[in-house]
Amino acid sequence: MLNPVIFLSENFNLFHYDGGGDPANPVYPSLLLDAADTEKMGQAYKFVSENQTNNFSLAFYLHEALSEKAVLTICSFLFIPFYLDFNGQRPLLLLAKDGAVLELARTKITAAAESQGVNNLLIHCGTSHEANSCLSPVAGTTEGFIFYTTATLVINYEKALENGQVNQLFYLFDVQADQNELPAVIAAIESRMKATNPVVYRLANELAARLRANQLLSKKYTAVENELNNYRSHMEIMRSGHEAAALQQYYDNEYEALPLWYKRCGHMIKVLTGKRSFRSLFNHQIKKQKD
Amino acid sequence: MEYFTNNNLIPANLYYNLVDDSIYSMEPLCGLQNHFNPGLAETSPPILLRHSPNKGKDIGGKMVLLDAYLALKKYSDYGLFVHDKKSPYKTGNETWASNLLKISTNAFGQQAMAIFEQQPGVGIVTAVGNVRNEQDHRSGLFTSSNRTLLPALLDHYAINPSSYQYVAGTMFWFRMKPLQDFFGIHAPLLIRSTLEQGNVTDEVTGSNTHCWERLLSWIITSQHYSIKAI
Repeated sequence: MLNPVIFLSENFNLFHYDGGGDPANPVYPSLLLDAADTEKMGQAYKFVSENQTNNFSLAFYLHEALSEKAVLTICSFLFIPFYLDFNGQRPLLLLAKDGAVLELARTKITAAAESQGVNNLLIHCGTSHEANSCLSPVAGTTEGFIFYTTATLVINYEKALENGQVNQLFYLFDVQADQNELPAVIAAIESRMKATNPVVYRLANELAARLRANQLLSKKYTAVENELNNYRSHMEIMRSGHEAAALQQYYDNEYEALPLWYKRCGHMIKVLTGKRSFRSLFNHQIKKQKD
Repeated sequence: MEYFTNNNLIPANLYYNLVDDSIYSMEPLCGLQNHFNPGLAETSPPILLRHSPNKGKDIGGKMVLLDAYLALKKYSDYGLFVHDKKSPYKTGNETWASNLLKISTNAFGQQAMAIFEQQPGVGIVTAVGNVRNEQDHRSGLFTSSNRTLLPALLDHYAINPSSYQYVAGTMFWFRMKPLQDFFGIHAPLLIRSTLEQGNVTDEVTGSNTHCWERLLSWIITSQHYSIKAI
């Protein structure tokens, strides 16, 4: 599949989706929750922690401003290993009637996630009069994601492919059919495209694969860079605490600070008392100290 | 994960956090169960996996797991903090790590449980050599690089330990209730948000992360429990 499809579900039972573990068929469930119902959010967290074995994401319907407890619970979800990673980003969908409520929630959640070190949250917003019934995405947040209903999915997925849209999230509402059939539905669309436009299909697949590989390499590069910086700082610490550093400092303060003429007098005294060879005054390669 | 095989203790519930932005963990989180002794597969513990960015080092990871513990409400009487102690910039780091990690053996675990049951005043059990005192015995003042940060934190969280002993390295057996009560009021993730990003050290200046190394012990001792080193 060229585009991941995320279907929304309010029902925990429907959340037991068989798929979502196969990168070739990226259809994932998204648990749709009421952001004001922190108790149900807690139950959802427990359910996902104990049962979820495939990738999933979250969607929230907001009736009012988001509470701090809700924000913290959302952060808790982000630490679950199966939270969907879409090209190095974690998608989260926010729905509300009011655009202002959405924007405030988006700012709050982003700030909270960043304070936890999670900087790859991908929040999409949509205005809707009720949960699981999305009317339209909020302008400015539509890049890379598209809303559809099951009835309109086939036509619009085909159009998206014709327009070269690959590696973009499709959020699916009012899933009427068994969600286990979704991969087959999408696969059928893509098979038709493969038959009619084989070159475009092949290029689209390669683009999707390159984007995924690029994201993984970028993540590894950052990790290696951090590790190198760690080693650098560790070496600094070890150098600063090393005995040799203290000795060097003593040498610099007590000897190097002396004027050259004074040092040369000292060299002459060493030669006259037999502690140093005369030739070594003129040739650095000759051994200085006599045994 | 090797610590939980062979002669080492198999926990009742294992909360395991992996640092997901480390180069050493760039692989899928699967097959973790296989790290346990296959002969114990049926009795191997439920594993609650989490992955998080390196924020606050091991303390940050412990906060993520404490948050999960509280949310899942699978409460227990005792707990054990363990992590893959490295500190490569310290001399004797391997000896220190080894002394800390031996607390995860079966034998040590059984001793710790027996102590908790027989000595109700003990709140923390760790290995000898791991207990330090933040307070200088002559001046009565805090001596480490964290000395300016600690008083504010103690005041903010209303922690008043009877002594300033703590387990250096933050690996110890503990009674769960004091931490459960404290973090039930002060959300672990809120505390985690104050910790430093990446591999912070306190060799030169103090850090919130290293302050919490002390505070995790003091939360327990401020509730009239003591530390026992065996």
